[in-house]
Amino acid sequence: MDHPSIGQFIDNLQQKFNDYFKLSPTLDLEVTETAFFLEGNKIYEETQLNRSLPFLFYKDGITRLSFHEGLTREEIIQFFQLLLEISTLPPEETDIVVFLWEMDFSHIDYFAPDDFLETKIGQETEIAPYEINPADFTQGVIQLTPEDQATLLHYGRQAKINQDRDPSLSPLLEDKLLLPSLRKLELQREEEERLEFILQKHRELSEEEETIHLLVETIFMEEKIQPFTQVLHSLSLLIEDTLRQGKLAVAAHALDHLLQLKSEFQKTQPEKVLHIEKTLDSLQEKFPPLLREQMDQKKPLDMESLFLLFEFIGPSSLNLLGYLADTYPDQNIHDLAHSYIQKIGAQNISLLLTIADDRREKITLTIMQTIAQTDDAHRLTYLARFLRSHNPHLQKEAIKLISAIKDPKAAKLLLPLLNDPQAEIRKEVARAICRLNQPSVAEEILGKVKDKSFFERTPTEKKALLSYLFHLPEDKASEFLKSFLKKPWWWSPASRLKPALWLIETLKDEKTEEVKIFLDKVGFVRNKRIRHALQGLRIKLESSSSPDYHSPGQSQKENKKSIFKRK
Amino acid sequence: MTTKPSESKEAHLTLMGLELLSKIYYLYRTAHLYEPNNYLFIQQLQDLLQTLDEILVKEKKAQFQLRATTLLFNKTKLKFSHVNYYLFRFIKDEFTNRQIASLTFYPGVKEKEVIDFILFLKSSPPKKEKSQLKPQAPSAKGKKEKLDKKEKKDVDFQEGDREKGEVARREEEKAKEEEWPNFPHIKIEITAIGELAERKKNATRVYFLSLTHLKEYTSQKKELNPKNLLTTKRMIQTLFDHIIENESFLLGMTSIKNHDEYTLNHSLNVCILALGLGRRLGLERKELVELGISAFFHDVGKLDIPLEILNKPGKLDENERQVIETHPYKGVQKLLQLPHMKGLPLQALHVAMEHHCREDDRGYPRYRGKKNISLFSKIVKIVDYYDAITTSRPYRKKSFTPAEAISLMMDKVGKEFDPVLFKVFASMVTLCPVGTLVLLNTGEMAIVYETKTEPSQFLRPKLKLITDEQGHKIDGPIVDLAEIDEETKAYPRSIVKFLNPEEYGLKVSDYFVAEVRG
Repeated sequence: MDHPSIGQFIDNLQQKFNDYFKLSPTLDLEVTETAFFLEGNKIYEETQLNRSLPFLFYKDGITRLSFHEGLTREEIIQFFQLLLEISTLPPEETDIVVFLWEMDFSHIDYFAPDDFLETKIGQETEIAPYEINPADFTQGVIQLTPEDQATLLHYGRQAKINQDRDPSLSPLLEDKLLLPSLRKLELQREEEERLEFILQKHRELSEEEETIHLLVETIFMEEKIQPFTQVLHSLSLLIEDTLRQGKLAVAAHALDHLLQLKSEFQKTQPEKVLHIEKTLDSLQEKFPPLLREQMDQKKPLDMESLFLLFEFIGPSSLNLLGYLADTYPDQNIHDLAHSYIQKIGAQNISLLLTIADDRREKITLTIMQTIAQTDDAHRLTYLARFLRSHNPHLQKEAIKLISAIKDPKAAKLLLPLLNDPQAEIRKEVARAICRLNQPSVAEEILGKVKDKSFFERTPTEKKALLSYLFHLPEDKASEFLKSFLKKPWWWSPASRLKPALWLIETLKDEKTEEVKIFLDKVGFVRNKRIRHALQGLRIKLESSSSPDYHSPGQSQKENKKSIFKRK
Repeated sequence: MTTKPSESKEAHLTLMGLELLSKIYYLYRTAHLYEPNNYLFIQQLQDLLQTLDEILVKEKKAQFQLRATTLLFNKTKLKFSHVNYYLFRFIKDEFTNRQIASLTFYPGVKEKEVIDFILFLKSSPPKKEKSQLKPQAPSAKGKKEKLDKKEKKDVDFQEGDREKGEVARREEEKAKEEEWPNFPHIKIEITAIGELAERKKNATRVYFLSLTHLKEYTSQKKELNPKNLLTTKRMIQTLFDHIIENESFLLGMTSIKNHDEYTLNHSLNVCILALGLGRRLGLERKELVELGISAFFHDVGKLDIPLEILNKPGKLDENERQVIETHPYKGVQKLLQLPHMKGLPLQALHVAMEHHCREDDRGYPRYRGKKNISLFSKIVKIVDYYDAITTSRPYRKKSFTPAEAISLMMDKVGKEFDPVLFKVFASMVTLCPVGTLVLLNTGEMAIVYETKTEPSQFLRPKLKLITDEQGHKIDGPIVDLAEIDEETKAYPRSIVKFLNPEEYGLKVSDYFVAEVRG
C-alpha cells in the first residue's frame, strides 16, 4: 500500500467516489456471484470465481455493498487491505462479513441477510421445535392468590390516599422499591472512574501472560495425568506462539512458572515432574530457531528477557548470542552478556571460544574477561588465542589480561609480541612485561635491549623494557644498565648517548630510594651531557619529597616531558 | 502521542453530536411532562437552540443518521458508553420506530420550528407495526442453490426483484415523508428498514439458530465438535446486531429456559446478556465478539459432569460438590482441545475458568498464584448468576422472578459481584426486567416487554397485557405504563406486585415466541 502507484490509485478512486457523492450521498453496489451492479447497470464482471471480486463478498452472503459520503482515504486503504488479506487465505478460513463487522467502517456498510447463517448452521443437528399452543393465550382464567388480592386491596387504599394528596404521587411499589434501589444503582463519580480504570486495565493486561497464568493454574489443579499433559502441551504451544509474536518477556515468565511448578511437584508427584521436564526439553530445542526469527526481524527486543531465554536454552544459545551481537551491533548488551557469559563459562569455559570473533568485539572482550577470571588450567592457552587476533583492541586486551595472570608462561606468551609490527601492540606488551616482573625472562629481555632493534622501539617500549631491567634483582641487569651511563666517553657522539638518556628518563618515574641506591652504585660518569642529565635527575629526586616540586602552572604531565619525545 | 487532525475533528464532532442529542432528548422528555409555556420547557428549549447555534456556526448542518446499528453525526460515528447509553437507545428507538433515516438541522432554524417539531414527535407516537418493503435478499435455501449451481438466471431474477423492490421502496419512503409537517430548516429522511415484526422474526430465528449451533458444538458425546469458529463469530455478531435493533426483545428471548437442554439455553442466554452488558460498558466490536464467544462457552466444562450430579434434586454431598467444582478447569481443557482453537479468543479460557470466582475470593476455583480475574469473567459471572437463578432447576424449589433476582443480587454486591459492573447490569435489565410477570393495580396481569433507560422510569415499562381485570386470559395490547391519563393526570396503570409465572402455570417465553409466530 506504500507504493506510489497504489497511492495514486487510491487518490483517483477517492476522487471518483467524491464525484459520485456530489450526485448521491450513497453508492450502493448490488453484489451477485460474478458481478457488481450500480443502479441496475453491470459495472464489473469476472466470471472466473477464483478471481472474482464480487464472489469474495457473495460467497459470504453479502448482497449489497454501500459507500457513503464522507468516505475517507484511510477507510479506502483499510478496506483494500482487508480484501488483500482475505484473498490470500483459503476461502474456508475467511468470512468477509465477520471482518467487515469488526472493522465497523463509518462510511462503508453491507447487507447480508441473517438467513445466510442457515447455510452454515443446522446441517448436522437440530433442536426440538419450540411448541406453543395459541389457545393457551386466550382461553381460561388465572386466579389471583389471596396474597395478590390483599396486595390489590392495600394498593387501592394507598392509591386513594395518594390521589387525595397529589394525583401525580408515585404509587405503592415505586415508593417501596424504586426510590431506595435507585440510590443503590446510581453510579457515583468515583465508580465511573473505577469503571474506566477497569476497562483500561483490561486492555492493558497482556492476554497471553494472563492465559499462561491460567494454564499453569489448570495444570496445578488437574490430578489426572492425561488431561494434565494435554494442558501442558497447550501451554507449551502458547509459549511458542508468544515467542513467535516477539513477546519474549511473556515467554520468559511462562518458563519461570513451569520451573516453579516442577519444583512444587518435585517431592510429591514425580510423574508430573517427568512430563514437565519433557516439555522443558522440547521448548529448549524449539526456542533457538524462534529467537533467531525474532532477531531476523530486527525489531527492538526486550534484551533482559532474551538473555533469560538464552540462559534457559543453555550453552547452545551461545550461537544466538553471537548472532545477536552481529544483528544488533549498536545495542548495549554488555552487562547482560557479561552475566550470561559468566554463567555459561562456569559450566564449560571452552564453549565461549566458539562465538569469540574479531568482529564481535564487545562480546569477545567479555568472553576474554570471563576466561581470565576463572581458575581453569587452560585459561592462558585460551587467552593466547586472542594474541593472534586481527583486532588490535582484542589483542591489547589479551595482553593485559595475560599479564595480570601470575604465571611464568604468561611472559613467554607475550615476549614474541615485542617484535610485533604494530607499535601499539609492542608498547602494550612492553608495559605488560614490566608489570609481570618475572626474572625468568630476564635474559630474553636483556637480549632485546642489547639488540640493535632496540633503537627502533617506541619510547614507551624502551621505557618499559628498561624499567623491567631496572627492577630485576640480578646483578647482570644492573651492570648492564650501569654500562649505559658509564660507557660513553666524553667525546662520544650524540647517538651513543641516547641509551643513557633513555635510562635517565625511565628512572625519573621509578621510586626515589631505589634510584638513589642505583645512582650511588653508578658513581662517576665521564660524559658531561650524561652527568648533566643525572644532575637533573638527582635534583628531581631531592625535590620529589618537597611540595614545591612542580613549578606553578606546570602540570605533572608537562613536567614529565620526555627526552624520548625529542627523538 | 500526537493526534491526527482528522482524529481531533472526529472527537470534536462526537462531542458536539452527543451534546446536541442530549439537549434534544431532555427537551423531548420535558415536553411529555410540561406545556411549552412552562419555565422548564423554555429553559430546555433555550439550551437546545444555543447548542444548535454553536454547531451551525461551525458546520453547515447538524445531521443525525442511523445506518444499520450505527449512529452518525455529520458523517462521524458516535460512540456510546454506559454513561450516555440512554441517548443511543432514545434516538435509535425513535428513528427505527418512525423509520427515520436521518434528521438534519440547517442554519436559520427558529424557536417555533423546534417547538413544533418536538410537539409533533410527542403528539404522534411511533406506530410499532408498519408495513414496508425491505430489499429482499435471497432466502437461505435459494442462496445455497445458487452457490451450488451458479446459474445466471438466478441473477436475472434477482435483478427484476430488485427493480420492483426499489420502486416500491421509493414510493413508500415518499409517502412516509409526506406524513411529516414541513419544517423549513429541519429535514427528515425516511427509509424503508423492514417491518418490526419481520425483524423480531429474524431475531427469533437467529436465537434458535444459535441454540442449534451450540448444540452442534456439543453434540458429540462429551467432546466439543470442531465447528468453524468463524460461523460462531458471525452468529454472535448477528445476535449483537439484533440486540442493538431491539434489545428488549432479545432480552425477552432469554426467558426461554430449559428448552431442549438447560445448558444450551443457559449458555445462549448468558451470551445475549453479556453482549448487552458489554455494549453498555462501551466495549469495542472485537471485544464484544470475544465476550460473546467466551460467554457462549463458559459452561462447556459441565459436559464432563455426570447428569445425575448436575440434575440432582436436593443438596449435593461433599464429593459431588467437588466434582461440580472441577467444571471450570475441565472447561479450559475442553476448549484447548478444539482443533480450531487458533481462532478462539484466549478470553474464553479465562471465562470458562473464572466464572465462579467471587469478589471476596470465596468462589472456586482457588488460584495458587494468579492474581487477576478477567473483566469478561466478572461480566459473565453476573449474567450467569442472573440467568441461573431465574431458571427453575431440580435442585432449586422455585426459581426467582427477574425482579427478585435483581433484588437478591443487589445484596450480594461486593461479595459475589463487582459492584460497578453490577450497577451497569442492573441499569440494563432494570428493577423490572423484560420477561417479568406483574400484577397491575387494575387487577390485570402483564409481562414486561420493554424497559426504560431512565432510572426514574424503571417501574414504568411497556407491558403486554395477558389477563383482563377478572383474570381472563387475553392476547392483550402492549401498554406503556409511563403514559399519563390526560383527564385524571395520573397513571392509569401501575405495577403492584411481581409474580412468579410458575405459580400461575405460565411460561413467559411462550409469549415472546408467539409474538413472532402470529
